[in-house]
Amino acid sequence: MFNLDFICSFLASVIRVTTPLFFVSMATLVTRKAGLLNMATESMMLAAALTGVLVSGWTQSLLFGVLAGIVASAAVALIICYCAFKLKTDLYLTCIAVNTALSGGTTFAMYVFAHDKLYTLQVVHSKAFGNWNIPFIKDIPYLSTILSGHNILTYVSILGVVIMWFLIYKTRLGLRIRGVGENPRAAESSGVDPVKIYFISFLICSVYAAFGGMYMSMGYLSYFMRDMMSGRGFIGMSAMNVANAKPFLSMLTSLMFGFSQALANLMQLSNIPSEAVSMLPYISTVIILVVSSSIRMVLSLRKERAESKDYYDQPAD
Amino acid sequence: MKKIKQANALFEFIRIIAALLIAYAITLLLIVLITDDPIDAVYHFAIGPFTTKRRFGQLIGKFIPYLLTGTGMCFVYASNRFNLIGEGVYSLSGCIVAILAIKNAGIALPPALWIAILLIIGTLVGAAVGLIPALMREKLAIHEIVSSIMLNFALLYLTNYLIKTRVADTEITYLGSTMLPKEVKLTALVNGTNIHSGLFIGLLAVVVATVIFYRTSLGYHIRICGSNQEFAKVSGINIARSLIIAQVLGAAFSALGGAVDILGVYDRYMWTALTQMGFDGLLVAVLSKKKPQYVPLGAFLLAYMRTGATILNYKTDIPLEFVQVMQAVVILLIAAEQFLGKYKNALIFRLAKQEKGEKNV
Amino acid sequence: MSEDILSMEHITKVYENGFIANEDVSLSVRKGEIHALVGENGAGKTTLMNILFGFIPYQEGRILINGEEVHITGPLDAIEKGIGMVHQHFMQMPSLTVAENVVLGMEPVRGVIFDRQEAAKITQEISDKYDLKVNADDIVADLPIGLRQKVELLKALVRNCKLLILDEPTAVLTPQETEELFVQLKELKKNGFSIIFISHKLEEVMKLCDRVTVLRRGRSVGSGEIKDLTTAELSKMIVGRDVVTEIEKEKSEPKKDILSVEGLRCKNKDYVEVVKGIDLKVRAGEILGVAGVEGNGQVEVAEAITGMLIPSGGNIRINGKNIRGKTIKQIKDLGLSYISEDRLKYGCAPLMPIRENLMADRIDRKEYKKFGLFLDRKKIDDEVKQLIREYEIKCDDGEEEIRMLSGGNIQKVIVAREMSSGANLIVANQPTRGIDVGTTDLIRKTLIRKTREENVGVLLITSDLNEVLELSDRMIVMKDGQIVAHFNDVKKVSDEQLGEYMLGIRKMSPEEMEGLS
Repeated sequence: MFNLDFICSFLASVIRVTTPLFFVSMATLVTRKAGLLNMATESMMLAAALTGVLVSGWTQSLLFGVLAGIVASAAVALIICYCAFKLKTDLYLTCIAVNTALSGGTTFAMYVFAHDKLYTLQVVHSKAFGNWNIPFIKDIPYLSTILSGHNILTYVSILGVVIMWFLIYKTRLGLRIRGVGENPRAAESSGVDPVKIYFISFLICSVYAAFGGMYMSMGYLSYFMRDMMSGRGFIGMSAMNVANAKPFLSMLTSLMFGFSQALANLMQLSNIPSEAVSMLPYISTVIILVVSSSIRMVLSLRKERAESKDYYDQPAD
Repeated sequence: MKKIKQANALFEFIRIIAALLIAYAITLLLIVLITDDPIDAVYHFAIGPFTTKRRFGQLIGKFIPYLLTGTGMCFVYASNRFNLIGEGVYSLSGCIVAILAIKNAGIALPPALWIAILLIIGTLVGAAVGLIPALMREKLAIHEIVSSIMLNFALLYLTNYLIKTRVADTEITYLGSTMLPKEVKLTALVNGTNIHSGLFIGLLAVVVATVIFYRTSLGYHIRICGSNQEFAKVSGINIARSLIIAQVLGAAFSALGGAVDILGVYDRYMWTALTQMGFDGLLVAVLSKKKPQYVPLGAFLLAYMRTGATILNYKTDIPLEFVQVMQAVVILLIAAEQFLGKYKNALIFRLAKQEKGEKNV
Repeated sequence: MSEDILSMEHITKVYENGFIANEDVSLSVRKGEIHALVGENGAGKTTLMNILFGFIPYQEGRILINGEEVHITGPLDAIEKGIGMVHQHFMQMPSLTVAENVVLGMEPVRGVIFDRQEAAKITQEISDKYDLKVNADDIVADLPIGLRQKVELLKALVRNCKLLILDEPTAVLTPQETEELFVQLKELKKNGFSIIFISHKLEEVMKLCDRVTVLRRGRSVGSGEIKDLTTAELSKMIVGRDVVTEIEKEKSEPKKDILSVEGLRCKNKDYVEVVKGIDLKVRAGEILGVAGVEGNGQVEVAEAITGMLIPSGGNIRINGKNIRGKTIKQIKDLGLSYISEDRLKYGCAPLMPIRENLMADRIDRKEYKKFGLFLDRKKIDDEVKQLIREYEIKCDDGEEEIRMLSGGNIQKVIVAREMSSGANLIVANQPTRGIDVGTTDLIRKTLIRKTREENVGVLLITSDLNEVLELSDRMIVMKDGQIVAHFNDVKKVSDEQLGEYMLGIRKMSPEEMEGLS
């Protein structure tokens, strides 16, 4: 079973399941650079996933579907921003509320428009993103299995990481986002409106999240399913946090989280009950968070301790 | 200063009412848009829960677990944490209790004692699991929203796994346990309804929580930590300890809610999807402004909204889930500092000037 | 006579708790003058400037710039209208470079790309033009305070602001840096800039400024030409009473050591050593005053004693017990009380009732419990009522949320708690800053009474010279993390003498500081 072909196709599946995490980790990265944690990327993904499926189904146009998905996701971002930054509701509370609203809202909308509360499969025949074979690489054995022939959005997601890096570190907007993230009042006194930057970073976030969501419903699967993000928004954010909001490192940590997801998918085929296997991605997320935070804690404690070494090393009185 | 204080209190009240009205208006709009007979729908939704004894029983049946999850979330929310593990432990506790009850059917213990033991086990299991995200937050600074939601998914699959491998009923088409034995059922207070003796447990929990909040030093510490952590630190309060206990208590109350709900309302365990109880508890805590003594009001309101939605769901073609949107709107507006803030500031300015004028005269 | 560049007329600002920060305040600044805005802490200077800079809205009054009425909607708008502000706490992003900090908000770009070279060039040009020497590519976090202030000035200059607001710019500077700043400000004046100089250091105002406006308790009480005023007249306007109000106090009879500090060294958050080996002691029945320009290590000393900051060396003993390795709670139990300078952050929980705030540090004591578990509500309420009465806290009852009180009454709640905790060492950090006269008086008298009647020792850290001279039995001066002077008899100390030590012009030898430890 464990021959080279198998390993290659497994690695390919890792990339397949990591694709939404690439999108989500970049989505949460831009808001964290602005100094905020966006706990509602799942809502944006859900909104985009459903809208994309419905609109592309009705219009039979992938482009319209994608545009509608992005608009839906951006609308969620605007609602969050309005509540959190204009009405001054606690951001976390806002995100939790919006998550619940969208979980119920998408199910509601799915029923209204597709007359089913679980899947859109029967009613809507949406367009989907196709796969892409990379020239040259597609002819190299093994490597082609791993890297080539993925959904087009997989390559978009990798491009998205590069774009995000460029945006954050090379552009004027990126400088402003980092400035606001570090000291919002200082940015304000320089004439950069933090609230505007929050809105912009949430909107950028929503575009990334929208692609993440549409990958799930129009790439990875070809239909919308109730609550289909099942924690991916949070897993992607964890990957970004473990990587300390560094774009390329976030890619690597996303792969780590994707690996456990792919492993779980693989184990579904074995005799172990699927319910037990389904726990794997979540448990491993918790474990990775605990390990990485422990390391960070120990290092900072050690540094503090070293600074106070003379103080502690005196004889007791 | 008295007038200003009154103005602030008045605005708090007006804001809650206005938030509810807006939420209802949005809901009405949704209903009107999608149904052919909006008047009928609104009737079912708004008045439905009070039309028959059975329906009112349903309402109380929902009210009981909301009392418990609501008080639990009061501890969590008052300590300024958004730990949603209450959702996961709610089903875990229900699942463990159901399995124990089924596996030990016909046990030679007085039913009251056996039920008490089951409830205690459920609560303790919940508290133990609740300790995990609390420790992760207070000792490792891992955000509690992320960890609790990850654990909620894990617990969902864990409970499904346990039910499937231990007590699955193969006669039914969906995943669920076999029937719960008669002796563990909480006594019905009104026959033919969901009103069961768990009501007393729920109300007792509210009292206990209120006592802990205002009559113990732990309650003082939790509230002070939640209100201003820096100040708590300078005051010599053990912050990590207080906050961990608050979150564990939150999980314990929620777990008790799950156990009571299973033994009170259900014939078998069948929570195979997320229960939303973490969020519902949070809504109750927000509605009651983090004060456990107001939890019954918040819990009743939510139970009423949910029952109305359920009735609407089986009477018409309107799916139940819209109520989640409505709940979210309520939370967002009630917790919004600036909602109606302009009017409040104008009023306070007027009062302050007035007062100053009176003083000078 | 040149016309007004700015005039603020009849400005009124009421905060949400009903506190009136500015009432009918007027201020006018002429073109090309340095205009002093003076007043005690809490007189409403910062509020007024935050209104002018668009940070906070105001309810009444109007603002005219160059004779035209304007509505300033935010800092961005203020900058566009030519107003630049140098904040007391620098508004900077420490991890970014000088150039990035300076150009933020008006960045040069090529397409969408931020143009680093151009940013550095702009910064360097403006820095050369006004002789404010900085290196554009340095990371701000690595710069000394004086240079960081220049970055703030550059930020305003590069935006072509003609009216500069400087909020207590000298509070953080050394005397040399202050001198340098004054030269630069006069240079800017010559170049046609108008400057609002906020300060409560009168000698600086007399030396630098052309005109002055005085605020007192939220109202403007007068303005005029500096050359027509004497220091005494000006200070009278500021405090509204004769400056030297002697508080009556008996001579102290110090007893055993309560606090002893040996060779204390501390680092701040950025691991920079800010306390460089100090020794001191506080004895029962005396007040040891700590004078000094803010930011010379006083806060860190207080935080080290209270256990909020772990020192990098030395020893601290309270009532003979070393506090090393002890928690804040354990240190408090050795007999320590602490009045923090940031009362809303460390001194209280603003959203909670007065009762909870008064009881925060002692609620777990046995005396408040019944059956060892539940709180004795009656006993608590009785004590709360008594404290409210004793400290004259103006409120409805103990249920009232503390944020609804005025600043003075909030401080009374904090002082009531800390003075009644049974501790015999009180560390008071700026206990009367920004507080009305009545409350200030009450707090000062209470501190003296505690030492004289109850054998308490007080470590009083304050930047208010009046306060330190009136209250202290002994006094030290801190400069750059060291003790540079110690006076056994405070009565013999003159303002001038004290100033010289505070500014680092003079320093006592160890022999001169007899009786310090």
